[in-house]
Amino acid sequence: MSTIAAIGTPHGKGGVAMVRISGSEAFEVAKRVFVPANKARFEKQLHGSVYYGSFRDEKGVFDDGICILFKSPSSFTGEDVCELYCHGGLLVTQKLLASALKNGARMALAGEFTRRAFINGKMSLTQAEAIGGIIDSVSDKHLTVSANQANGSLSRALGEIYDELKLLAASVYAYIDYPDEDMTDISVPEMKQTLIKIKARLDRLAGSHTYGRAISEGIKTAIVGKPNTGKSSLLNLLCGEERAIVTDIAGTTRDIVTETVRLGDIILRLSDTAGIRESDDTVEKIGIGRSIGAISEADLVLAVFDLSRPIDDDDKRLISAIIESGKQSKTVCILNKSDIASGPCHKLPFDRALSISAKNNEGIELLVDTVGEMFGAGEIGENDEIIVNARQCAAVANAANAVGNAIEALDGFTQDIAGMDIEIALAAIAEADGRQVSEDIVNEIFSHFCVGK
Amino acid sequence: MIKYTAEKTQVAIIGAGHAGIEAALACARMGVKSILFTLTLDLVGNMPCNPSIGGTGKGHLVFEIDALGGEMGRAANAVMLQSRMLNASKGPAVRSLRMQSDRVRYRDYMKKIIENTENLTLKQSEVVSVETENGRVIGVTTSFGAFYPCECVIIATGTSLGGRIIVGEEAYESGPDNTLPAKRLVDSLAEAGVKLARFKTGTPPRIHADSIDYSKLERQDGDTDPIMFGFAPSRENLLPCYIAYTNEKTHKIIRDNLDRSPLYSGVIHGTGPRYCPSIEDKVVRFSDKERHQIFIEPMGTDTKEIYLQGLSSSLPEEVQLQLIRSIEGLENAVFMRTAYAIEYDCCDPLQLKNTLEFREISGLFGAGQFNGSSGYEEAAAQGLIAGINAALKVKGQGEFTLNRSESYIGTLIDDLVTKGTNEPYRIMTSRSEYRLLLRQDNAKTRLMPKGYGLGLVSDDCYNAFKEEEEQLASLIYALEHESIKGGEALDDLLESRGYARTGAGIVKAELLKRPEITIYDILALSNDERVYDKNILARAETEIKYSGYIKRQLAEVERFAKLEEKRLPPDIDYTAIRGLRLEAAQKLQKLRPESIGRASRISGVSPSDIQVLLIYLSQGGKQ
Repeated sequence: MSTIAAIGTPHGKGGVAMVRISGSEAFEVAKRVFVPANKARFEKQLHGSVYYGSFRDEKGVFDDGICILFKSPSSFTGEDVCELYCHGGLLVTQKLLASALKNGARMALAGEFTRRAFINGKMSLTQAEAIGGIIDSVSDKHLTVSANQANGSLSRALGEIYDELKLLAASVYAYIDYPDEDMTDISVPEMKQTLIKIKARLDRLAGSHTYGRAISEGIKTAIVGKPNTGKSSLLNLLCGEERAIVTDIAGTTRDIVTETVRLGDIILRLSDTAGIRESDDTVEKIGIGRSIGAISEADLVLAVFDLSRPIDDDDKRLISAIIESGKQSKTVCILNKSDIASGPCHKLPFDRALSISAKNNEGIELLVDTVGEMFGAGEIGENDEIIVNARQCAAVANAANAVGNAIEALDGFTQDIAGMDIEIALAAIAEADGRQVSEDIVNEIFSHFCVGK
Repeated sequence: MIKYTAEKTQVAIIGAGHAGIEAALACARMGVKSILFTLTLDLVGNMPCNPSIGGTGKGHLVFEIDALGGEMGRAANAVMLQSRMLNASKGPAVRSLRMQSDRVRYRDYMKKIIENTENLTLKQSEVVSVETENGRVIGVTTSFGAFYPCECVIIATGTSLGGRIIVGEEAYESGPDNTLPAKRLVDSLAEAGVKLARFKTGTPPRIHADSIDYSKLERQDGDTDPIMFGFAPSRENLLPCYIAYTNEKTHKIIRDNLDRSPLYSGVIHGTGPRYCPSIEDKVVRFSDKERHQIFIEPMGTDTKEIYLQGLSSSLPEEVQLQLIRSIEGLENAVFMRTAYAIEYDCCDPLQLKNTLEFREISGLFGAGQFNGSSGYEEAAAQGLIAGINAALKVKGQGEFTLNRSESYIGTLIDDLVTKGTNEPYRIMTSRSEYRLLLRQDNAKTRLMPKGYGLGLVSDDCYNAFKEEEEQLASLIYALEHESIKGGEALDDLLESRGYARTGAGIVKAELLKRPEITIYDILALSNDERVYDKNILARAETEIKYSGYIKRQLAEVERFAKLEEKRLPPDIDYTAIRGLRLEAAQKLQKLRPESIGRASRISGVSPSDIQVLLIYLSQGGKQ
């Protein structure tokens, strides 16, 4: 396999950055890029040793730093690995990577380090996926769930269901293959009972993905409301220093389009936040045209109304826009400015409504609870398994579906058909669990990793 | 020692049991000069155990053998005593035919067929050596010193190879039914490089029919209008079977004498079949079961010998007699044959290719119990495939293999040669992933064109088959394209089966898909003048009722085919592939599977090893 290199630390300015090189030529590349302070000591290439020196390219030395060598197979990838730590400037890091690439390494593909680690037997597929989860975690909850999964907790839960189904399949086949043996071990009604129980467990697991996704990928959220209802105060509150994790995905600091914020354990992906600020600043830009687009794409709509003023035509237009987009059930009606409101509470056609004061930071806990409840937090117990991974969710849903078919087959068809369905469910669970994996899945999984991980 | 050179032949088959017979007939019928060796001419096609052909999964094998032009199904039909379709109510995929057979007439039938087959010589002789030169077979030598030069040898030695019978504390070297054991051949095979294992099986006692009190037993008759193998015209059931049960007294006798059972005292070393346990095994392993079922089966019309299925044992004779007499209805049983356990040598089937030829010894084939299987039907199926391939090899015409998605025969062979076995292997419907496609009723559709292509199926047979296929196709077409008018008659039917009256008409196939509606209901409402064969009706009903499931399995077959098509180059050095676990690399290096599909079925090769192989292949075989 060729020797690969990539920047292992996040892009941007920082104190220290790291370039990782992996492959049979890793040490050779290091020799060409790294000038050790103590040449004799570096020649020994001791596993796990730390060497100080400087980095160079064809023009000469450009930085100094540290080099660590990991010998195969005792490294992350299982190959010879060299980690070069330079100062964390964008330019210097790029220069170090470029130098490594010019001296025998090629740019690593997405997820290639982890993939090599997996290929070289350093980790299982589910562990590899869990590492992806740990890297991607932006919420504590996601981190906890990922860490649990890396320990195999979901595997255990799926394993139990798998074993139960296997036992059931075995009973069916024993009964079919040994018709003379006077076997009455399991009756059709008993079988059906067991299947119904298993289906409920699988359904619950598949259902946990709503929450799992909310704590990992996040929910597409639109904040809407006519000007001066306090959308930007709410936005600032959500993005406030103390609770915001902000990533700028597209564009510059001046033109932030999407912001990712954490609300309790749940991640919100706020769309068109620039637009919200803009339209609040400039009163002339009234109109809800811009909001309609955001509403129709959102999985969560935070509709902001001003408690201190009566509902007017603009509010009503917004309400009908929400209803027309079919997002009524996905909307939280936020009645803002509870601090200065004196009149009676507005009666609006939403199941979920709460009063807050964005300015005084009051009522935000209510919002946390409400959104949490909408995305299944209430149904998930402290120790319940949560599926954060879409692949696993699809497999578990397939298994639940197959078990459902088996139940139906027991009514309308014959036991051999029920047996077939149970086998399909078994295969689906094995897939969720990583016991059985097809080529497509492996490729799919590893393309999700960022370069350098 | 070679004393003289006998006539040159092309294929030599060692053993004239169920595997050897099919192998020899296939070779001869394909125009290859063959010789079939047997230890005794009086026991050609002997049934040393149960007097029946078929059973769950096994019935499927017989239908497939029949469709390919084998003899077993026709022989069973000819000597049928009673026929029953097992699992009739458990679904079309698992319906299996079992026929009680006249043991003596079965032997006579087979011997006569063999004696009247062109290109085939039947010879009573003990083969003591398989001669090889530079890794290929050149002939066999008999105990009288006759050297028969030939190009291929098929070993079908059953339980005779190194056979040893054990009854209680008594043990002696013997083949089944006290025949000669083939002892010297064992050394010759080991010398040729065949890796051998030792398995064990057993058979129950036989008693005299007049010593049974039938009034105390449950009678079990055959099906009315029984289905025959190959859907041949029905014959009448000749004799009933009976059912008896063991009781607590029986179990106590067994428990009290366990120390005298060679299975438990350590006298027997061979591995026995889990699927066909002795009565002492059943009593020990299922100690909470109050009774075990015993089938009382006739052995033929001209004999009073009765077979006691379910009482297989290796306990001392006097204990056997005691325990039989503890069973209600058998209190006065008169013993005719004592139950015994038998140990024998067989090969490790991982040495074989899917053609059943040894990977490392060109021209040497194995079939039947020698390959680690158990059962007459499993043996016959392998005999047929080994015979076909030996004939093709002689003729220089390539190979013939069946895969898992088209047959139970392919499933059986793939299991044996890919996974190996550590106990006598028995086919079961649960061994197949594609059960719903591999039914008895479509065996001819699946395999008869292949049998015809090989020259094993006669023109008459093939033309009749084509005609049936056309009838079926037109019947299915009619059901899918014709409707039943809405009205009283249809609504009355719907209501009587628990469905709502609709007043509307319906396409026949849609109506048939309802679980409570049969094809006969549809015929009754159709005023259809045409007369259909009952087997064709039954098959059309299955094809339509289960069409959704059949489609799904077909999709799985496609996925299966994709993995089977991913070829693994024959020269891969698995030990050099990074990431393969050592065990997997060693297994793959040894077995050299042709495809990813086969590699994935090798025990010890895990899904993650398969992923490594897939990645290896996707990188063009480079790392």
